[in-house]
Amino acid sequence: MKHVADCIVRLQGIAKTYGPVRAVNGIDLEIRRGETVALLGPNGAGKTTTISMLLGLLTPTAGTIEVFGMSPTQAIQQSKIGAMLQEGKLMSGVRVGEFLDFVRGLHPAPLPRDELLELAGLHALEKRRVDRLSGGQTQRVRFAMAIAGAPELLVLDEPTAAMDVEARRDFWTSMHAYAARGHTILFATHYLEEAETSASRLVIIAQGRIIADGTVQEIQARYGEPRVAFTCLDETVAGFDQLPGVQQSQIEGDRVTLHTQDADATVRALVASNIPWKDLEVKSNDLEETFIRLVHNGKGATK
Amino acid sequence: MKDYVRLEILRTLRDPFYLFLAVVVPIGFYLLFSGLFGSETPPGALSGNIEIMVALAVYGGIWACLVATGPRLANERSSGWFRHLGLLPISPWKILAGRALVAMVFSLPAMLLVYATGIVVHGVQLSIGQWIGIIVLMWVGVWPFALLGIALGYVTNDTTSFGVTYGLYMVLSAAGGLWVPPAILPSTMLTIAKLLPTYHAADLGWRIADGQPIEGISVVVLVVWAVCFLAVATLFARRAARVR
Repeated sequence: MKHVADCIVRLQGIAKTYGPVRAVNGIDLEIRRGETVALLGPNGAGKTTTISMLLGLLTPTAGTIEVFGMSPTQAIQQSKIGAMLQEGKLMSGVRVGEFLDFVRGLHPAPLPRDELLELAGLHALEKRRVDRLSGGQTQRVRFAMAIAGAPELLVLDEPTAAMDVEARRDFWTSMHAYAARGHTILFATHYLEEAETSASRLVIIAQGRIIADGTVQEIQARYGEPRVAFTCLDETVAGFDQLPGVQQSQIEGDRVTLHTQDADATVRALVASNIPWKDLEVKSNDLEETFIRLVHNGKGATK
Repeated sequence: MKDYVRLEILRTLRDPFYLFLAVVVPIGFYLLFSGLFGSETPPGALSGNIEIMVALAVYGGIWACLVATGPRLANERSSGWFRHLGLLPISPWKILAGRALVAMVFSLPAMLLVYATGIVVHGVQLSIGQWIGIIVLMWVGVWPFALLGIALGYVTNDTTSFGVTYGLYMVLSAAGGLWVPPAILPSTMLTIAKLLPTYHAADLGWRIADGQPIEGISVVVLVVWAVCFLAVATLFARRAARVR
């Protein structure tokens, strides 16, 4: 982990219960400056609840939240966080331009007007009434509202939920443009593809807990069930389980499949050994399989 | 907050239905009531045209105050806009103060139009001093209702708000002697009327128009109600702000 000063979001033991229902059940999460983190999980996993607590819209039943070393509410009052919610209407009866001018006016150092309209793709909609926009257009206004104050941390709750394919693509283009300025981004999604292509780090949650946390590669290496398979030319050879990394071996006729924690180490050892093998194959589950398996098992144990 | 107030005024103007009720209804009632009773001038009492004008100016001013706050606030609390405001660097108290200010602003034209109708249609004549007194003091007299409206915006929800606000408005107006001249109210009713802010807001105008000094008790009653409304509004706004 990098230097502590780089950590701008710190959730410690966050829990939220509604009567007997545990929406969030003990989440520890640190986000470092400049990261783009996807909070990935199925519907009902606790993503929105976690984000609402991070934004100070909900109070956790247990645990502490620090954003830029202060409370979420203070961070919002200081224009350090910009956020985009999944639901809720914006101010009705005003035009997009008027609305964004109002929002910009609340921040000490807002994005310049033109730049904001450009980033959110709203130039053509400036004169339209906020309450008379399509779902995708409304999301763009919400995005503009979130970045209007040039916040260091941008938090997005299922930003593309109401968008069609094209709107979704445009949205991520805007988001990447904002992230490219060195800002930190946390977004919730249940689209694996969005998480994989847009985030530098995946935090997978299910049933209110974090079940995996890391880059796509790290998660794949750890939870992708890598397997090393080969045809063994000598039926008398045994003890494959002793090879480094191997957790379990499977033999069907002369075909051996080794489930390993570390495919590289297993293959290296195999090459160095005197086992007569051919047709070597290294494979693992794709990310989607890994994700589904993680979510279904509800475990994966963090760190 | 200046920008917020400006924007609120703009969007209220774009939603003319409520304004229609605040402006047109009192004028319509004025024309109706004054047509029916306006010419009656009991000895030693204010002319009917003036008495009704004062009562309906208060009636219109109050509705402008209530409608700019209660139902709109209730609607915005449930629509999610208030949640979004929580993500912006503006204190919720400033928002509420802004809403109250907007309500006060809107009540003035609603009242002025009733006076204008009195002058144009009935040739109501008062001295400049009396007009200034009526315009300013009665305007200030309806301000407590902006606070009542904010309280109602929190007490009611989107579905009930309009009905509850309108119902309470009717009850307070009728019981406060805005529809029936207080002089002909039965004594119990009059006693009740004299406890209500509606009566006292209008009484300021009645007295000024009649050349009498305003009563200290009117100021006391209006201030007490304003404080009560503010307390209820604060209580409920705090409760709503205390996140679950």
